[in-house]
Amino acid sequence: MLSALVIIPLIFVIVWFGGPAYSLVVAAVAAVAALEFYGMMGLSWKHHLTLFGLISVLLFILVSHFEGDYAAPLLTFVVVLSLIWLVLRSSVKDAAVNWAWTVGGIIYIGWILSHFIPLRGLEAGRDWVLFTIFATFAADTAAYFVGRAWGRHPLAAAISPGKTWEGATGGFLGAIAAAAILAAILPGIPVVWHIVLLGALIGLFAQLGDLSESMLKRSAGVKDSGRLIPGHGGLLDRLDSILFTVIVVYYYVLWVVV
Amino acid sequence: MAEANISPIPNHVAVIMDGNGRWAKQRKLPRLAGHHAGTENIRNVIRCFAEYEVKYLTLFAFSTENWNRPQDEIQGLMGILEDVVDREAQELHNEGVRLIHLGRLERFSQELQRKIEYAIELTKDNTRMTLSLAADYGGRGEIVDAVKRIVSDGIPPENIDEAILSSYLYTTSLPNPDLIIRTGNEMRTSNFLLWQAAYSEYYFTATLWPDFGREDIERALIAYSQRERRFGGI
Repeated sequence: MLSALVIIPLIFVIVWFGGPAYSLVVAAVAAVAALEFYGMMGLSWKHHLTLFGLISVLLFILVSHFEGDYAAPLLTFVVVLSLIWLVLRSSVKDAAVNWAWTVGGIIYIGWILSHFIPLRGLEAGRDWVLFTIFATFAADTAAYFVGRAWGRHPLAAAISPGKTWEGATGGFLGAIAAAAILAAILPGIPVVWHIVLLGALIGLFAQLGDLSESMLKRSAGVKDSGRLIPGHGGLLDRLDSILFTVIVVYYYVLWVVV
Repeated sequence: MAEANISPIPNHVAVIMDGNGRWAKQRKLPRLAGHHAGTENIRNVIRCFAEYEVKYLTLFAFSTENWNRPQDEIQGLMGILEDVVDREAQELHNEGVRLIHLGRLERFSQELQRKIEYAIELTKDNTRMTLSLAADYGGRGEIVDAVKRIVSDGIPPENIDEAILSSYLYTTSLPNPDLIIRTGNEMRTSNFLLWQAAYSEYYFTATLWPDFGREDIERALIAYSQRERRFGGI
């Protein structure tokens, strides 16, 4: 709880001022998330594939700053170079598996998190980033508390034993409420009826993002994505909802608002 | 915690933690993911055996033959080992577990050696349970090393007996294992505790190490409690 009190104003300030500080924070977050992702696969930060993945993730963050679509050539470059890298460094037995997980991590974290850069750059981008972060936060928090208070019917027992339909509904509604409130508070957010729809999508995708990451974690046989904050799981565990919701908000703004 | 009443409980349980690689392959994960999951499982297993009041637990983490594995995997294993010893030292200490090391240290990195020595020093006065980590351990190598030291200590042949030789092994402060569990569906000793296992009960399970949990432990302990140990007698 204490950590939340520190982090929330910090997020606000960094997003508000944007600029290089914002980019650096996005890059740092992506780096830690990537290290955690590869850590789940048993690849320590010293492993050559972790190094490859980390650099690629940072490159995705970097090229998202430039006008024009550099993501496509970067992706091409990553696909080809990763295979060449494995030809040189990996044992044949593990090659296919190593390749799939390395590239998967680069796309899941690098490509997706990089959307925070263009989103901030859009008109009223600052408000949209704040909207994304806080609406997602509301969805997760509502889901957690409603689930704790009234949770009875398991949502996806095989993936995430703690999640319930009651909690999910709470999260969904929490996101809609947050969307409405944030639209009222943040000047850059248009106060239109479909903001509520966006809230609903955020409520839905925040939880899908969470389940997706839980699924990957379970598959890898680990409980926490890492140990950034002792006893609190890892950064990736916190980011998983926002990985999906930033995409939702980005395309919403691009296609609906602008 | 009310554990199922199993009696007798073995005083010393040793585990050959096999199956990480196969576990990873089943899930199309990198081999190191299997080692990572297996290592995460160690914590649960230690806790479980402590609840059953097993006094000595020995885990076979790395054998002298494992150096033959691909460089990639060895480096990964060393990384995992270092990470685990670092993270778990304080936790073990809090739980009253004493850590000792069986095997050679010289072939590990300076950093890893330092961390292991630190953990051993930190926990040396704990009494709830003794956790022996067999890392860079080989049963034959252990006996050879013991013989070399007996010779260089100048012990006359007529004074050499089983007790003397036992005292020159890495396991000198430990009682012999009562139960040796091997996970991963293989039935061999793989150069583990050759001398000490003379009268140990073996328990083999097809369960792969990362999946080896509370139920499997209970099954193993129940199986042990039903064995008739005769030590060559009637």
